[in-house]
Amino acid sequence: MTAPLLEVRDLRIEYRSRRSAHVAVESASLELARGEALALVGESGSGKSSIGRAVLGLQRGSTRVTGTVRLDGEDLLGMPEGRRRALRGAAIALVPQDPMAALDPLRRVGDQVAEVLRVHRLAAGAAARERALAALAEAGLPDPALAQRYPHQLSGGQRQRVLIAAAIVAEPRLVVADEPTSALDVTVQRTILDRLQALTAERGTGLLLITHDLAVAAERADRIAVLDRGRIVEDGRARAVVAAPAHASTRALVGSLPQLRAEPLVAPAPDDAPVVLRGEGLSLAFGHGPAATVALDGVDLALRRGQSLGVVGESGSGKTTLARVVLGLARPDAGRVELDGAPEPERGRSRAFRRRVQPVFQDPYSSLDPSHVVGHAILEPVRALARTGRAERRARLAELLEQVRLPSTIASRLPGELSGGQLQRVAIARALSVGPDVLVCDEAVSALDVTVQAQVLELLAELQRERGLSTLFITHDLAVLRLVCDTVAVMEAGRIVEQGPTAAVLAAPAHPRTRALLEAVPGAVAGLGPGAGLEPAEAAAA
Amino acid sequence: MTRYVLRRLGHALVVLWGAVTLSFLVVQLIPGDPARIMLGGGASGGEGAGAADDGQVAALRTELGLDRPVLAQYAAYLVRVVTLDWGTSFAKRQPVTDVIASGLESTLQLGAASIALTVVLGMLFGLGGVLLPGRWVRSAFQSITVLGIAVPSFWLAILLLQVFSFGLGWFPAFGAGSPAALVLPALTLALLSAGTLGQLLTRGIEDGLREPYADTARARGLSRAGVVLRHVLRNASLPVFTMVGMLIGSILSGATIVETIYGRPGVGNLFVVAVQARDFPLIQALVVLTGGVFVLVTLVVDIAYRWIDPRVVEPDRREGARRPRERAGAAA
Repeated sequence: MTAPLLEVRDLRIEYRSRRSAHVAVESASLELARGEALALVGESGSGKSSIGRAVLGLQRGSTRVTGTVRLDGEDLLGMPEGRRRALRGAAIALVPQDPMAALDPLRRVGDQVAEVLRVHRLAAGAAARERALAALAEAGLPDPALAQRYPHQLSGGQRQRVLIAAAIVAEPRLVVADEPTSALDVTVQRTILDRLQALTAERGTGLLLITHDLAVAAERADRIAVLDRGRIVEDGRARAVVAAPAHASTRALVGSLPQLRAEPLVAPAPDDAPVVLRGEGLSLAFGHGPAATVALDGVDLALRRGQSLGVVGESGSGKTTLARVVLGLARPDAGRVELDGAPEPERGRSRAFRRRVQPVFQDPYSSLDPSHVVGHAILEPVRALARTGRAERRARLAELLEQVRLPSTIASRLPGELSGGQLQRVAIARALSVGPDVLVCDEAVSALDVTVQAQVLELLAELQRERGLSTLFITHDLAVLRLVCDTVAVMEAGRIVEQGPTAAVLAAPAHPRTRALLEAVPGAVAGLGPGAGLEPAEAAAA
Repeated sequence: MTRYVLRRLGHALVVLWGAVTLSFLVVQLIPGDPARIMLGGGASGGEGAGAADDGQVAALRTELGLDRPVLAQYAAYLVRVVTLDWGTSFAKRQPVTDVIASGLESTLQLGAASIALTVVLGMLFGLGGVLLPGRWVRSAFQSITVLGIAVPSFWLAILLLQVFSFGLGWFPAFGAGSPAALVLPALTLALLSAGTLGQLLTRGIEDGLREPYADTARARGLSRAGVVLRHVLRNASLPVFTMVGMLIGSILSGATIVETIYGRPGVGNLFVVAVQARDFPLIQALVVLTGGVFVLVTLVVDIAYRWIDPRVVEPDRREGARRPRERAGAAA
């Protein structure tokens, strides 16, 4: 029997700091054959990324890695750093997590792809450039002009393709893909994963796919290994694992996947409810002349009291720009925003206007000041927009924490000490602190694990039901949309192309863009995930 | 691009106008009579001063235009600035423009040499702080560069003179005749700012090494040094570049001390002479010159920045400038 491509035995990963030690992975064992795709699935903090880093040898100095990691029988952990470096990029390649930050902003992307070849002296000069262009084409960027661009000139999907090209250009034996598509929307996600799967299968490359998304894993991997708090609790054929999950943690992952068929958490707002927020003919372009990109092109929208309007569309369709215009963070070139029939003042927002429309952003880590305690952050809008005394503010803080179901002790902790779900609750509490009428959630749950996501969505639905809050919900996730939005608007190229009650639009999409979004939902094939439960006829029609 | 340059140029002119106005106000706001002060009396004049009689004071007031209304003086002053007519230096008995021209060459040499040295030393200090082998060695090296920031310039100058001039006799102690005479003054100025620059660079590189793009580069098989030299250094250099611009401005004021100690006849030295002699026309010209250098350097840095960092876009909408990601997303 030949040795497997990758063999991990009794891997233990321990992070040490001056004060404490934390074991991230304990006695983990894995095997991966040539041409096989293995998905490592688990919630954040389960240790899946730590395993990926250990395989590549990218752990930091304070991390202790023990056990055995073999590539084609060769022990990686014991070898000198020089030899390890020779394998990195050439034999084991990484497709990193965040396409936005994983490329050097000051170098042309073609050079960054060719760098792998230059570093390992596999090719130089024009030959390296040629191979880089070929790899970019294989990764789905056939236009050679793109190689001359800088990362900021590319979209998220294009950047992720660049990273894939850089990973495959040296024809490695093993590709470690760490959440390669989590930052992308579903249609882009699908084409990227298709490409990655095809490229590795064609060349007999092993693929270690690290993901929190069980639906993606089931659809893309031959085998799935489930991690729970640093231990591998389940390992088997992909279909078998999702069809009959043996371990409680796998069952939890399967159970908390938002389904397109799940019961919505909100009821539609009554038709006679007054319109709280209205946008008319909103248009906005970036840049001048022929280089200008139109982000919004005559968008009308009306949000009634207690209504939850979901805005979906691919990245670049203008969703986020719409949110920013509604929040008053961007000024439209044309059109206007009205609150209760009163137009936004010409010269910027009044305080009253700002108080009544509050944001919840995607990334709670970067939208909270890391040096201020959570209680301070929650009351920030109160201090800025309302005149209240100290005692009153303290009472308000307790009330808010209660509303978002956080313990009152959390107020004195720093954002760095909280989990992603807790932080997003803090962000919601902050938005609620000034008693707004409209909440603008921009991908507010996209950065969260599925189980946490479900809890935050439940909270948002509850606030909507009980307080009559209106929500403008920007999302790329149709399952999330179905759960918390009674109305949906589909955007394409800065326009709303389809609008209506969520259930009706998802059941019978009229516009091709809506159909494309539905088709790209992962899981339809594997029989779980958001796409699960769609009838074959429906899926075909969709 | 052209629009951007034009707008920056507009900003520069406004700042320059501010500097000119300030230099005008310097004379206006002095308590007492500027003419009497220039003639060596106390601000109050009075019996005890006795240095200048009232006739001389009146004549000088007329010559300087101080007897006219303030706005008329200001208008005349602006015209003189534009036509580069600074009048006569009181202390040197020469036209101010000639006096400054005589010192400018020496100071330009000193400035250019010290900036070049600062950048080279700053790079060495900065890279040494992250690339030397061993954590202990690196932090020791970093501590040494801090000394450069802490030491006063006159003390450093005297130390260098003691060792290299009086002790080893490698370089002349005074004068500005030869290139060798340039070494010690330039080194004095450079060592002071190179410490700061090195610190800034070290910090930037350490932060950069924690960025995801540095991880990606390591995953491609680059060594730590390779990651620093090929990727992180350039990113970390952006704030350093801005700082070099500010240093060029501060070199002029640093030159005052260094030129005095090394006995170089430069612009910094002129500042001392002008202030000591209460030579208002010369002081005014020097204030405008310093302001002008600052403005020019800032302008060059701003324009060059766009060339170094491709992400800097025309800030026609603050949106686009602040959130290049979103813009790129919208473009796709």
